Formats: sequence, C-alpha cells, structure tokens
Amino acid sequence: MASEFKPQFGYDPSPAGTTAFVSSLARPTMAEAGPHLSYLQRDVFLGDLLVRIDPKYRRGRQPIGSCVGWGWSLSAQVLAVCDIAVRGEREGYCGRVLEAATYGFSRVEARGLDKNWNGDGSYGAAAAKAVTKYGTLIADRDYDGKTYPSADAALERAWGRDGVPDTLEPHAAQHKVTEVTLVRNFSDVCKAICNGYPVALCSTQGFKMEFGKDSEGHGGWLTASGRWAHCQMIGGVMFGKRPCAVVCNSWADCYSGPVDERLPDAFRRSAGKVDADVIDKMIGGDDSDTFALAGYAGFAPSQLSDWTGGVL
Amino acid sequence: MNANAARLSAAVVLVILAFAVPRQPNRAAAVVSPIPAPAATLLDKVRPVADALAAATPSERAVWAEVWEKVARTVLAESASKEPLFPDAKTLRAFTVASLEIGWRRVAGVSPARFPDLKSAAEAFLADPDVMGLDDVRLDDAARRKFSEAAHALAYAGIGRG
Repeated sequence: MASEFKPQFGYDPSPAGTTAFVSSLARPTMAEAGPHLSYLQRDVFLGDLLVRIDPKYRRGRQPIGSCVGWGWSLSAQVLAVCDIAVRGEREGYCGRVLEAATYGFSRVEARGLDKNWNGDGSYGAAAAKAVTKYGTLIADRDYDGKTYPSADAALERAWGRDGVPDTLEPHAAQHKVTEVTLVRNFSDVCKAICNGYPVALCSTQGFKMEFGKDSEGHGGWLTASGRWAHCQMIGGVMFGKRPCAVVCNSWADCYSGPVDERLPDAFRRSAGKVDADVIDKMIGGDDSDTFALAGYAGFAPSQLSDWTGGVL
Repeated sequence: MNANAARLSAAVVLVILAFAVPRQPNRAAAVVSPIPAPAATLLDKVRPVADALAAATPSERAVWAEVWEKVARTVLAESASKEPLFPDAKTLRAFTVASLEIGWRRVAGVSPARFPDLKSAAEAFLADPDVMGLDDVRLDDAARRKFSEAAHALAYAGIGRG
C-alpha cells in the first residue's frame, strides 16, 4: 500500500525520435486512422473487459524505471481483450504481456542499437515501434523450455540493456500490434477508448497519491501535483459533470483515500481519474508522445476438447 | 410301397425341398441404404468406425445412421439461414453432442463404451484435420458442407458399409 510505496518512473522523452516515428506512419493521427470513429458520452472502462476475461488479473508493480514497458504492455493486453470481447475476433486470450520484452525492444532493437547502456527509461514512440515491428511476448509462457516472469527487475534491466534475445524474436513477431496512431487530446482519447482501443499515455504530469472525492460521492480522483516522467495506460473515460480519463498506473495498489466503487476491484487502487483538461495538458497536442493501439495479432483459436463429449 | 419306404421317400422330398427353397436373407445385409457412399478418401478414413460397430444390432445401426443423417441435414440447411444456429465449431460440437445424447444414448439406449472402439474411432475421424479438426473456427458454408459430408460418412459407416 501507500506506506511501502517507492515510485519508479522511466519516461525519457525523445521529441526527435517521436517525430521521426510519427512521420513514418501511414495514418499518423486519429483523424487519418479513424475518421469515422465516434462515441456516445457513456462511461467506458476497458479494464472491465480484462477482468471479465481474466478474473484473477491484478496490476503489478514495475521493479525498475520500466514504466514505458509496463504502460505499453498493459495496453497491448487490453487491446487483445477488446479484439476478443468487442470486435469478436476469434483468438485465444494471451495472458499478461511481458513488460520486460516491450521495454527491451523499445530501448534496443527499435532504436537500431546493439546495447543501450544509458540507464533506465524509454519513450512512447520507441515502444510503439517495438510492439508494431517486433511484437510482444507473454509472461510465464514456455518459450523453448524457458519462462519469463513479470516484474523481474534483473530481467528488465538485462533486456533493457542488451535487448530481447534473438531466439525469442520469432515468438514475439507472432503477436504484433498492427497499428498505432498519435493521440493529441482528450477528444481523441474518447474516440479511441469508446471504440475499444486503449491508449498508452506518456507525460511528465504528477499527482498526489491520495484520491479525492467528487460532489456525487465518487472517489478515485487524482489531483495534479508535481512531476512524474511516467508512462501509464488510459483504460477508460467518464462523462457527466466532470469528464475524465481513467489512468492505470504500474505501481500496484498504490493509491490511498476513497476509491470509485464503479471500477473493478483489481483497478480501484491502481488506477485514478484525471480531469479532461489535465489530460489535454498531459498529452500535449502536437507534441504528444501518446498513442492509441489497434489490431493485436492474437493467439490461435482455442481447441475443442473432442467432438462427441463422452456420449460414445 | 410299404410304410417305411413311403416315410423314407417323404423325408428325401422334404430334404430336397429344404435345399431348393430360397434361404431367408441375412437381416443386417438386407438393410438398404438410402445414404450415398461418401468420397473414397472419407470412406477410407471412416472405416474404423464401421469396424467398431461390427457387433451392433440392426436397430442400433439404424439409429446411428439416422442420428448422423439428421445432423448432416440440419447443418447443411444452416447455409440457407440468415441467422445460423452454429456460427462456429464450438456450437456445432454442442449440437453434435446433444444429437448423440438424445438419439444414440436415450432413444437407442446405448450406454457409453458399449462399443469399446467407437469413441476413439469417431473422435479420430472427426478430429482429422482433413475432416473437421479440433480448431474452434468460425463456420462458413464450405465448413458446413464439410461437416455434413463427414456426418454422412459416419451414417454410412453405421449401416455396415463403411
């Protein structure tokens, strides 16, 4: 809980890197990528779909400055869930997307490096390139006789320095994110979230660690304060008197104070609500390093146990 | 002709008649199948099912064939439906299990493992990737036709000609 909490950040902006990546996209912004996307002003939280498909899901805690890996991996995982639950794609649920791989790809392979000795941290566009060009791995899945756990500091540090082992790249390449596009404001966030596309948010805005409450008695509000060079996932939007985004952190159940009971238990103390105007400032308009994700290449459809069900 | 000679003559006549009268046909062999033979590749694959049913009674064979024939016809008719009941392999499998449960187990009263090799033979046939496979895939008209042909083949195997 909050008393044991030691925050880890790790967003290391690279405006030049982001500009170069965005200019390489065929459809760089929501206007091009989703010109027909619209939304009704109804509250949406994509984490509901995640816990429906994966009832044991709990948000973990990033062990080093790997927030970019964590924010983007959760975004890919939620995208996979939305592909299944919202778009009815016939694929199996992948499980937890391995943060160390997304982080490693974003720091080394996506930048064309052999090694990255430059401390911790990464940036949004590098992770966007990582998941679209190199793909994703899944935590605790057997890869050629080895498994790789989530929240392993040594693994994240090693892959953040050396990149993901070459032998794992073919596995990762099977599960890429098809498309990313720049999100420039809260309106873009609403279009993406309400249509089942999570948003990986990179920003330097900080918050208090204790939730506030609104006039209707709902808790879970984050108050802007200080500076966090941090990557998180926007998993929901709410409207009504105070339009806001629900921002999912990677510090486990880190927040204290009154929660919003409308969120699933797994997210009540690991995600907070941020006012729409604050979200606009966090994303930064044309200087954004925040992206919506679309089209997870999921897992093969599940198999039938048999055809005759023990009748014979 | 004395009485003994008359009796002997009568016996000889009866023996001759007994062999001369056409024999009653074997009941199982007399079942005439309205089910056309499946393609040669399916026929080959479904033969273990026919072997597994070697000890089945004519009525059991008839029920087996009827269950699979009805399944085949129902699934094939789906292609004309705007809202298919079986959009994917999982729902088709549920229908198959229910049909077998009702027809084979409840109506014919055949208990599980009554034919020890039938389960493995039928499973192997349907799970063959060239027949249906075990992937839970979305069904289109081609997949429904494929299943219908497989069900026909199973019906055909049941009436002893697989």
